[in-house]
Amino acid sequence: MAPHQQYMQGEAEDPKQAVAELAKALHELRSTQAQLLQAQKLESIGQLAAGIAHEINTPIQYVSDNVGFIKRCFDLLTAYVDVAQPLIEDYRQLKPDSPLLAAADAAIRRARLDYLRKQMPAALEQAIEGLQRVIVIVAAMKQFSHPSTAEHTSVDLAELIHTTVTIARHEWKYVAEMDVQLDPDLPSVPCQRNEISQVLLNLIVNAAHAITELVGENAEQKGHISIRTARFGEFAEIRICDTGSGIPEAIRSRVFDPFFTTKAVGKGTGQGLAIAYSTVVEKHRGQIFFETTTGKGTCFVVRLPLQSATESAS
Amino acid sequence: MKVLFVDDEPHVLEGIERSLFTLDCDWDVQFASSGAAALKRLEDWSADIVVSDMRMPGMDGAELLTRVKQRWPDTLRVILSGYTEQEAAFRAMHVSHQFLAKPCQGGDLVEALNRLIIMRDLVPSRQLREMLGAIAELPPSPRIYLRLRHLLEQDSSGTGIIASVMEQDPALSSTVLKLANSTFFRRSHPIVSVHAAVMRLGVSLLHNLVLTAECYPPQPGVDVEQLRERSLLASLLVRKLAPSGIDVECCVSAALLAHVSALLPKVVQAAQDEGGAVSPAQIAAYLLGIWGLPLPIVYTVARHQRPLEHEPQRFGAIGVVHAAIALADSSEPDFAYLEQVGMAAQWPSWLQIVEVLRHDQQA
Ligand SMILES: Nc1ncnc2c1ncn2[C@@H]1O[C@H](COP(=O)(O)OP(=O)(O)O)[C@@H](O)[C@H]1O
Ligand SMILES: [Mg+2]
Repeated sequence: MAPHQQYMQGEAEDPKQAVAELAKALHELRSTQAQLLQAQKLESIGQLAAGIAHEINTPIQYVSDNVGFIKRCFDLLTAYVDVAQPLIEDYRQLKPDSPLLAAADAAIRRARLDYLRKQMPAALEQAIEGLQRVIVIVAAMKQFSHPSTAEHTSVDLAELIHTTVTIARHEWKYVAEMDVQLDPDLPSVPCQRNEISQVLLNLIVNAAHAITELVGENAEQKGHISIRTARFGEFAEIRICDTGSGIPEAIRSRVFDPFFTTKAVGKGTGQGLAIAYSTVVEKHRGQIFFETTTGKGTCFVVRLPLQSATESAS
Repeated sequence: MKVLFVDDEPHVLEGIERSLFTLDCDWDVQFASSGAAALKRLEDWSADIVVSDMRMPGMDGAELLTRVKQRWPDTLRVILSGYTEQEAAFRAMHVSHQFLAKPCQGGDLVEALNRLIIMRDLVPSRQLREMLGAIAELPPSPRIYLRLRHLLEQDSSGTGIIASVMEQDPALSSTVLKLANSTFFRRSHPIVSVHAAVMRLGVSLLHNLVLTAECYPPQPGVDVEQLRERSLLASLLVRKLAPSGIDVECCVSAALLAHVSALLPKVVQAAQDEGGAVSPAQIAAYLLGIWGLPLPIVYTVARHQRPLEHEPQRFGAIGVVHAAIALADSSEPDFAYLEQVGMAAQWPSWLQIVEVLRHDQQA
């Protein structure tokens, strides 16, 4: 007989109870492991992010300088062409048979000048826009990489939301249109930036999943995710609403439980809302709740106090 | 204006060169690909500004700028770095006047450097600027410094309480505002209040900053405590006197910082010896300006002694700082000015407010 079986028999009179205890222990072990894995993952991502951000920032510096340079050069050259073209026409009157004229005409044809004029600015605009997006993502990585997560800093929620939506883009862009409308008068909020960003990220990912659940992976008709902010008394309120599957009545009381998930392995860990709850309610003395209609959609509401707990105490 | 750019990555230098070309900058620029090359260049080409990368093989940016500071103190020093760690920012803070984060768009770079160079108009004397260029920090009041250290060593201290201690000391306030306004920490808006600066930087960074700071003792003959008290009083008065429609936080900071040149008696003395063309207020404003504090603070500090000249139409930011400082110093305000903006009748009631505040301060 294997030693651990002996041990089991020796400890517990009732084998049923022993099995139940073992199952419980196993469950706890699994959850600790999952938590550890998550923590390790975040830590190594943080370390990597700091190094990568530095490496990326240098090339971005000269890529964006150069793209900006080319754009302005293009404008200058266009201005030059604008004065040169009438000159060619004038010259055509004077010396219609000049070989110079033929060469100029050929060059213009080869360059497909009209097309260049239209496409060059668009190409450069897009390159600049793409760069801008990379800059935002690297800046966000830099945020995640700071180990000083335990601090409350004054955070501009609008900026935080835009950054988070950008980082989470690949999670929602195939299934939903994103509609972000933020209250311009909302004051900044004292909070732990990275952690609140993580909460928003979790809620956005959940919203995207709920939409996928309703309409399928490659649906023709995309769903909607909307993010709104507003002042609510002494709180800043963030609403993240989706047109997804809604939360069935039977599980409404359990969604904030750690490891509660209705998703397939690999897609859900059941940690998202548990983390959100502990961050918002325990660490920030805020509120988090949802309003949902099965089959129609869900709104998650996060409220953060405008005055931090430590401050009002002092 | 002569600017030397230093970076070990040649593409970065070429990118900057092209950028400046199309932005029609008529600066005289030079480029160096290492610290050693930069120093050699500076021997026969004295730059107004040196902009250096931080991480470079051999001599790094911090070392380069330290040498520049010793040898050419009037040259303004800027770090342009892709570093993302906060620690890097405050390492840079000791050696540079300003810290810019890569990537920095061409237009922003030009704006930052222009901003830096126009500060020279405040102090036209090269000799004075050389004295000021070598200063990285001001000496805080030992009493407040110790209290702050004590608070920072306790884990439970929140940003609120730390800010409320820091904003009692002009030297510490100038340091946090300098750091919080470097592009590394600043997000969209300039940070004008000590409170917002502390919030932005966070407690643990301040902890490192304060504990590792070389705490300069004040120069002989400076009564740090007395200066601190009247600066604080002036800043408190601003809150009481402020008319609506002005940026109160900016005026509070300006009133708190308006006298920082009193911490530098040698510079003030030198200015007097030169004939007094440069006032102590201008010296303070120059220092705050090259440290990258928001321009409204810098200009309010520079102009607060001459409200009639700069704000003759109304009782605004300059007027309120002027009045608050006169009250705190128990000196005469410019009554002609107060008369003109219709505030002279308020003076007696303001004197009462000062008495109450003085009384509270003593208690
Ligand atoms: N926006 C939403 N719409 C519908 N159901 C949701 C939504 N957000 C969360 N849920 C439900 O709550 C469960 C727990 O969510 P969460 O804690 O984030 O874990 P996970 O997403 O890994 O499953 C999900 O599995 C899902 O059933
Ligand atoms: Mg989730």
